[in-house]
Amino acid sequence: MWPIDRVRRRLLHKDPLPEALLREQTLSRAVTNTSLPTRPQPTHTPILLTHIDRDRTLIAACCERARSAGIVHAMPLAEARALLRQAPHVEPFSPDADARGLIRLARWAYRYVPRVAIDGTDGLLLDATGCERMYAGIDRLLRVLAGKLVRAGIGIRLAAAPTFGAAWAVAHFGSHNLTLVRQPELATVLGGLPIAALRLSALTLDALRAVGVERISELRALPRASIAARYGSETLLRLDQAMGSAIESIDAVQPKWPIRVERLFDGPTDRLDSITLAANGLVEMLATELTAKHRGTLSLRVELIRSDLEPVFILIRTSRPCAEPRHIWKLLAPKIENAHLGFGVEGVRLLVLCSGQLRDTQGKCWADDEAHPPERSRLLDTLAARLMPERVLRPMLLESHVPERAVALRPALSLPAIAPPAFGPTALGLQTNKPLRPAHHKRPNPLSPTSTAPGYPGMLERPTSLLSEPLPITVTLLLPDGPLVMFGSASRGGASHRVIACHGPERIAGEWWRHSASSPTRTVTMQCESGGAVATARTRERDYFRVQTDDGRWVWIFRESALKTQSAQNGPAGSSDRWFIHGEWA
Amino acid sequence: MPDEPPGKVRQHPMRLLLPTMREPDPAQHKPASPAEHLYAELQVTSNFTFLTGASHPDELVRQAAALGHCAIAITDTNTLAGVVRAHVAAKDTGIQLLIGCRLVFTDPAQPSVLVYPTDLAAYGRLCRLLTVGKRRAPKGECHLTLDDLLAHQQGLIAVVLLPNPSASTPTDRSSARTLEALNELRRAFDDDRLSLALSIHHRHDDADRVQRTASFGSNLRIPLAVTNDVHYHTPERRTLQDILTCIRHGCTLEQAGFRLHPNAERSLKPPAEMHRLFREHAAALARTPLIAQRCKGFTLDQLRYNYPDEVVPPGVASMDHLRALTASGAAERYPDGVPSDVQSQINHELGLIAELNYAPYFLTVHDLVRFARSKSILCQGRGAAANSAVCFCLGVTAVDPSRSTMLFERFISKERDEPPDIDIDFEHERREEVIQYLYAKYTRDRAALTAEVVSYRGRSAVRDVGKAMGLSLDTVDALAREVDWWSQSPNDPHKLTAIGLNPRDPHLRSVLVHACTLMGFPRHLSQHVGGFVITRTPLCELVPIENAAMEDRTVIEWDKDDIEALGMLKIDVLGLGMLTCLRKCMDLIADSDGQRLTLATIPSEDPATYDMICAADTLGVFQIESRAQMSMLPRLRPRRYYDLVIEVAIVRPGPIQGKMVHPYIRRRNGEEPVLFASPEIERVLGRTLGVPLFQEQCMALAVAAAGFTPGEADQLRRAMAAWKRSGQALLKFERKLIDGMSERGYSAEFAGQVFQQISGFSGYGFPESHAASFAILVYASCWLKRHKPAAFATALLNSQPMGFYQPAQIVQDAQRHGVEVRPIDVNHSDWDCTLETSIGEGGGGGDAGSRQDGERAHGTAKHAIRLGMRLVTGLSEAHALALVVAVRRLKVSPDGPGPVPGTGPGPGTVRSLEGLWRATSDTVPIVALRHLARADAFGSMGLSRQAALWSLQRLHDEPMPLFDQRIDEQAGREDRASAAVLPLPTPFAEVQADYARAKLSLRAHPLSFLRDELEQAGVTPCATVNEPEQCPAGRQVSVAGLVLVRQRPGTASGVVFITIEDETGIANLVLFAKVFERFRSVARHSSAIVCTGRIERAGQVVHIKAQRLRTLEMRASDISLKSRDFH
Repeated sequence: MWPIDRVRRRLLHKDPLPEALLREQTLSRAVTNTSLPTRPQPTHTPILLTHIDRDRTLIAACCERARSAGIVHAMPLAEARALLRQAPHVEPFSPDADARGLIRLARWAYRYVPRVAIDGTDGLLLDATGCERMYAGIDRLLRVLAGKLVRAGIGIRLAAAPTFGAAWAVAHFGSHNLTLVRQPELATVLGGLPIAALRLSALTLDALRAVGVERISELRALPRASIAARYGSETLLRLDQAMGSAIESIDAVQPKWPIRVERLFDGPTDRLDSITLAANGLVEMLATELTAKHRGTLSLRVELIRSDLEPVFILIRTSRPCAEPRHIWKLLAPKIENAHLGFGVEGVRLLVLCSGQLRDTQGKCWADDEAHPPERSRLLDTLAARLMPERVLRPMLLESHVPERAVALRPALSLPAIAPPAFGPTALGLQTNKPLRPAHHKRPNPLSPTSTAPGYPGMLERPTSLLSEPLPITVTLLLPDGPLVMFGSASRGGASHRVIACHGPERIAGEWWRHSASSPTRTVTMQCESGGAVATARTRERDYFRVQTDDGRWVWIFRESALKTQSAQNGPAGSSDRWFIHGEWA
Repeated sequence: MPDEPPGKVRQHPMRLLLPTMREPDPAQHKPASPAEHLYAELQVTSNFTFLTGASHPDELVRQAAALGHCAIAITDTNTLAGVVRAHVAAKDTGIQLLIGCRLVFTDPAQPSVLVYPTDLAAYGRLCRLLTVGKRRAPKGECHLTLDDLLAHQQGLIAVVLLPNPSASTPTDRSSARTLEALNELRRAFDDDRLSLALSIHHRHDDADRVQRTASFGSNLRIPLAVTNDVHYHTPERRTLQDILTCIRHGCTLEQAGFRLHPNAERSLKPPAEMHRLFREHAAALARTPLIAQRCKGFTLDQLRYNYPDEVVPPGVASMDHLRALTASGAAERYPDGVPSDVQSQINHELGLIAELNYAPYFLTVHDLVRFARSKSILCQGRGAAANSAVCFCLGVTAVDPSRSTMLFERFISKERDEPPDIDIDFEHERREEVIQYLYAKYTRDRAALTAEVVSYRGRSAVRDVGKAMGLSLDTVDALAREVDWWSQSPNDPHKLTAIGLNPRDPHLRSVLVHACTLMGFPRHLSQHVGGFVITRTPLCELVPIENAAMEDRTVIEWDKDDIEALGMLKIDVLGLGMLTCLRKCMDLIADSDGQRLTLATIPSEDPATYDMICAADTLGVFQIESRAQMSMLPRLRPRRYYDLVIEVAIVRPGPIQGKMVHPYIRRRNGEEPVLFASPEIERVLGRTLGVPLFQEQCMALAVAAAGFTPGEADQLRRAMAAWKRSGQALLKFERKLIDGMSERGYSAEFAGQVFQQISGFSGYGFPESHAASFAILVYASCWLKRHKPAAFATALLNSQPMGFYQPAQIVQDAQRHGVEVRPIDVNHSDWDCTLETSIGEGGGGGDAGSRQDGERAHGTAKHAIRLGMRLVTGLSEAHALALVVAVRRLKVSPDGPGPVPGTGPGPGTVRSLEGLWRATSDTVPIVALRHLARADAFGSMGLSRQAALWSLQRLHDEPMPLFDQRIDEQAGREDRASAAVLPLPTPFAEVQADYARAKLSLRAHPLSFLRDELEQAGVTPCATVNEPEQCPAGRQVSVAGLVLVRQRPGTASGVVFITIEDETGIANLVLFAKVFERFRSVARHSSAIVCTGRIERAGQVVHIKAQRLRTLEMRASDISLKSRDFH
């Protein structure tokens, strides 16, 4: 089961599939002795792959263990869980990833045979013509392949035969996992196999079985003309392809070689300038190669091969495909300078780990129209290279009525481009607004009238800056439930402000579904918490007022009170009310 | 086992739940507010605006009454579906209810309008307006424009809702159109009837909105009226409303964002609070009671239901007409003169009908039955009123009052003013004709189906709430599947732990709490199975009518509880498969024997028929064919009609859970004395030997023994029906019943026993009146099976899918009774199965047991069943009919294709495959012929399945250019030559192919081929299990067979019954829950199984209590057809 094997491998080695196989030949001396992992430990966790069909989670594939527990294809997941004693590993079935993995496996196979093609969703066709000599016989090649694959944890059925058709038939319907069929025995072996081994359409198979033809030998016994008249020439073609009397061509996978450049010195050197020079030259070479392929690097690994020491790996990531040598160098240079050279460097190697299609751009003329101009991504790359990617953040708009939840900081490199207004110097933690209280830093508020991101109610009245934590204040009311007259800081007394205008209230009840304790059954993750008022948001609601103080500033203050239930609805503002200041209009 | 009783046993629980579960706690509320705080809430969205409102209409009404509102309106979006429930609640509490509706127009620029009728005529116009909008839209939608409203505005009071400016940035264009719409409304409704809604929801833009509304009002001179846009009756429901919003948008709470309301202000607020909020808008506040005052002119009580009058000839009083029809019907029914007791019953019933003025109803029913008769559609009425002497005379039912000894107590109950209750079953294949007749006769404005309010049940509720609250799909699945939602405590911590969830998790608890609240919320309107409402005056002025999901159906917005609350009458037009079968059977008999039978003329009380019933030889008959029924028959040994009535009613969850079955059997067999605690009880329970078996008896018992009023007894009936959803309602009656009985001197023990029996009925009790009608059909089908087995089996095959059994069992059963069954054949078969005259005497008749043989010998001519093409999988009816026509033409045409020499077995048959193909190539695709070939239907041409398929495979849909006999002959020779090379199919493969295409085989039973293999494995044939000498109780045996039926009755606490069949007979397996769980996939999916277990015997009934199961591999050859998995 290719999908299961793929997932199991990933679970066991934390390694995308044929990477381990690839490493063996393409990596440098230093890692060649990292031998392949031996036969994978059979995981004790059953593996289930699921797909969702009309709101139901069904099993798309399952491992041997699960199957022996009685789990079958298209069984609902909950039922499958009930059959298993232990909790299985469950993940969505991904035909795309399987297909990609298969292509990589096919490319790996190129090291043994000259031509490889993909067969269906879980098979490879290897054209080993002329390879007998190299391996001293096809049977040895089979054993080599089988050994490698089994050790890599891939369940296989291998067959070699004079024709693709016969090899396919024996691999799928033969009685052994490893079969070699030679020309003389071809007809006998094929004859005993069911007609399904001929790769015929389900319709044809059905029609043939209806008249009692089950085996290939029975089909061959029929007059050829009768077969053609009844079941089409394709049936004959498949038969002939298997028997070797018709030619079959395969659609070979294009081999793909990694984009890499390297330069080995005559001997170890610890001269930084020559290393830098070599690296710079390699960057130029790489850029030329990338440009020729119309690709740009997204993730680039630079290796400084040190004598008697492990190589230094430097990882360069960019926010968009990049093939500009200057930009790459700008990101790389400081890191080389800081690298520990040990007893000397023997060579430099650049390997593109991940690349993307280069996008044609218009140059200067309309550059402004772009939501995410190249200058900014270059800046982002540089900042990320210097400060670590996870430290470069960008504010995001979130849909929430609770003001402090309406914005969140996310790593900038991982986000898609968004509209400019939410992006500015402040995003990097710099402060532009003069703080009301120096002790608290403020966040820019994307919901303030200046931000008009689509999909947000444009009329929401939000202050230009929001305190990261609401500040308790004391207020003076004319009546228990009457207008607001004065407020002042609760903690340090003194400075109090007279209210000359007051708008409101805007009542915001908490997001009641957020519970303080998260539970294992929830898939929703909690947003990063900030602000002391959040924990109580569930049971309390806030009345926000926009007030003008006597010195002309507009500030946003709120009263937090217990959520009004039916019994308390008519009552005056309770004594449990607390007042806070939450923001200010610039 | 106990199949759901058809018809109307389930009651909507809504009104029942109210007093116990949702009554607001009076202690919480302040007394009605003083006179200066007058306020009426005019904008109220109940949960009949699906997935928007978060309170039931009655909750809103009760809450408004408790808070001291002077009136409340229910204004759901483009619907009046919830108003009856609100009306009932308003009558209970005494608050004034404004019937209203929120009209939302298709053009978003036109502001929504709340409208309230001020009198009956205006209400009629509102209904008509909604009907217009709904009839032009697909189901569940309503497409209205402002012009529609203006055309129906007379007598309506309107409150305009200004579009929310913050919803989207108002462009000049759209606000200009809003202004234009406002002006039009102002012209149509002068300012006296028009207001502008003013509300404050504590949102950030309140000030702007109030300002804007006020300026619109003063500029256009439209007075303002305060509303609160209520979505729920208490602020606590805000959380549920958020969840509903998520369900509506298909998102989770995390994703919902600004689609949720920011706060809980859309609840009903106390008038004082409203006055405080709107202290600056006193005029707008004062306008609400004013509007309410002006709507006092209309309540739903004014709706008058009118019977249609077409059914009465002009100039004749309906009662006279009914008398005349009854008299002539009686004369027809009793050619020898009406017996005096029947005549007196007729007179009594007619008197009641006249007094209660139900004559038009009976005439309407009669008209329907008359129509069905004229189209020879078989029908039969059931229900209390249907089993009256009048209905017998009118031909509505075949339950002969002179023949049965039953007392029909519940004909029409005068005290309760309960409308008569008649359900009419029609042939299920032809019910649509009757429905379309009703629509055609009374027009769509006057006749419509009743709605069925589809509500959230436990599973759907937890599924939707769980998804909205972000639970993973698995968790939701597990919750929905594993939690027993009908138990008293669905959030039992042990159950949650058992499925791997933490019962203390607050999020999970929140999900469960909300799911429980959501249960019972309406989800959408569907159509009732067959309840028709027909009126004289336009129905669409009583209630809006909308399109149903099914084509050509129109449905009113109210369900049967609603129309019952308003005293409207409905007639249930239901479909019943057995009627189709009986009609087909009687037609076949008429064609073959020339004997015209009807339900009424089938000889009654035939001992041979009862012999057959006692022997449980009832495969295929009505009702008593199930496993449970069959095992009951030898114990009950019915010998007369009334025994069948009991038999129909006794194998139901109600009597089973009430533990009444065994006492009844013991008393009947004389093992237990029949004692009555008092003469009253003997009157009620006399005919069922002191054991209550029918729903009516429970109610009568409550009246007779505990002093219930008939009205209370009716409530008890509803409580019984709704018990699963509200156990409390029934518990309330327990006290009353037990107290009432001890007052009347019954022992407490006896009282407890009676209550136990009554609450047993909460599952499903079966009314005697329905059982009586069903028993007629049971008897008729048994009689036909006994005396016309060939015709009965043929009719049964032609009415499939129906009943418990597959065609294979029906055919085998017929063969066991000595009927010859002939294979499907292109030359002889029709689409349906047909009767052919049996040529030979032998034909396998000898094995059928002695009693049949003797009688059949001097009976009418013997018939054989010719299987029809309808049994062929994949073949369409149109193609089959075209083929039948072509075969007939070829048979008669002299210049048809000549016979292929040496193959045809007899004259009058088409003998060449090519000839048939040429004759039908324009109408029948080759695929259809191949389907037939796979079913081995070319035998009469001398072609085996294999040979026919081999030849057909060569032919294609493109016709050959020329007809040349030589080419055909040459091709035929080539076919035969090449076919000789084909491997010969084994007999087993042939049988399997038969099963694959026709689901039955006349050759042999598939298991007979495996017998040797099975014997080696120590498997006993099924027939041997029934022999007590060879297989005594307690012995461990293995049996194997094809799975016929799997049943998991709700009453059997997880026990699964499986019936398997081999070539010798059938065996009954019982799987207890543990065994079932262990072998779940085999028990659920395998079509052939081997079971090892112990034999259990009870009288003649033999079960095998399963211990182990495995799948029986049914391989035709040793070749594996499936590719091996890579491993």
